[in-house]
Amino acid sequence: MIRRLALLALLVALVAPTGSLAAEPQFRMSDIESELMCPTCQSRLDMSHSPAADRIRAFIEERRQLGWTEQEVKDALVADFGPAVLAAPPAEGFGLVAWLVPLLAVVGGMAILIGAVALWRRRSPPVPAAVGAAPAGAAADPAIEARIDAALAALDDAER
Amino acid sequence: MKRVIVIGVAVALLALGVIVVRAVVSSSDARGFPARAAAGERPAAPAFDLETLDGTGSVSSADLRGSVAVVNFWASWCDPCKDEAPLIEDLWRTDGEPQGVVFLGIDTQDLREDARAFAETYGLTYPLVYDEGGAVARAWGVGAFPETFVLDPEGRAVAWFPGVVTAEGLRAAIAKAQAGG
Repeated sequence: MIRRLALLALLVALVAPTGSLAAEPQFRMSDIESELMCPTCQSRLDMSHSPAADRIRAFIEERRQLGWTEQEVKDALVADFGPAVLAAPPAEGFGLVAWLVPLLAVVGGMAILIGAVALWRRRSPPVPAAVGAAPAGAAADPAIEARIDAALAALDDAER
Repeated sequence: MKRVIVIGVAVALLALGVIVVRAVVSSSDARGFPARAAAGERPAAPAFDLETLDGTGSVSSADLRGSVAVVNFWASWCDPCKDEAPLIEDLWRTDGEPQGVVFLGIDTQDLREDARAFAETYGLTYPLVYDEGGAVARAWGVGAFPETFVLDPEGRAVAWFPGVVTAEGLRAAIAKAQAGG
């Protein structure tokens, strides 16, 4: 009999910590608050002090103390306030659009930019040889050189 | 190639423009509903179909047709709603049910369990529905709580009360809706 009682006490001792762990908070308030919206003020929950936001915070804290996970709390809030209570839309169903549109816009914008630059480069007229820099070692036009020399000589004469 | 780019950009800009215009028009329509009701234009109330707060059924805007209806938007966290709830309940008992006037409380932007506790605390016996996600409140242009609308039998708003109603004001609006003028 004593042995059975001792065994029972041992089992209770082993089970007790597990039971108390189940009610341990699974997440931090600051983490979930930044991922939720205040439904009445259209700002993030951690930036709102409206009565509705205060009540939602109290609801979260109550559930947190009961050992709910962050996802369970979010699911409960979405059930009452709709998906708009989430700061970031879920990456599924219609919410996926909110993730894909910016991505497609960036990819599409880059494609348009690259295409436009390629088109302009192909269509732009060749740079005239006289305007561009002469290739290294290439001989300059003798006529132009003669005119430059004459102009420089005239400038020197004028300075004297 | 150039033509494809130009067409692509034009289509994208057009789509963006349509989205922006639709958002602005829809937003201004919703904001305009209470103002038009206050101006005496009798705008048609936006349609809805909502589950009752106790989850046992539903009430739609079509159900209100044929009777004068008092539609009250509230939330459990709203302090003025706590002052107003007993008044609405009294009016429902004295001026609503006996005269065939429908009273409907729309709880919105609220936790369902809080709303049920609120209804029990204040002993609300008139029909209550739950606006999950707040879409109906937005469609009606409700910006603060409480807000109350009085509809004529055709579902047009004859009066709008931002804030807590007064018994005299609500009775006068009900009489106006019943008279049809």
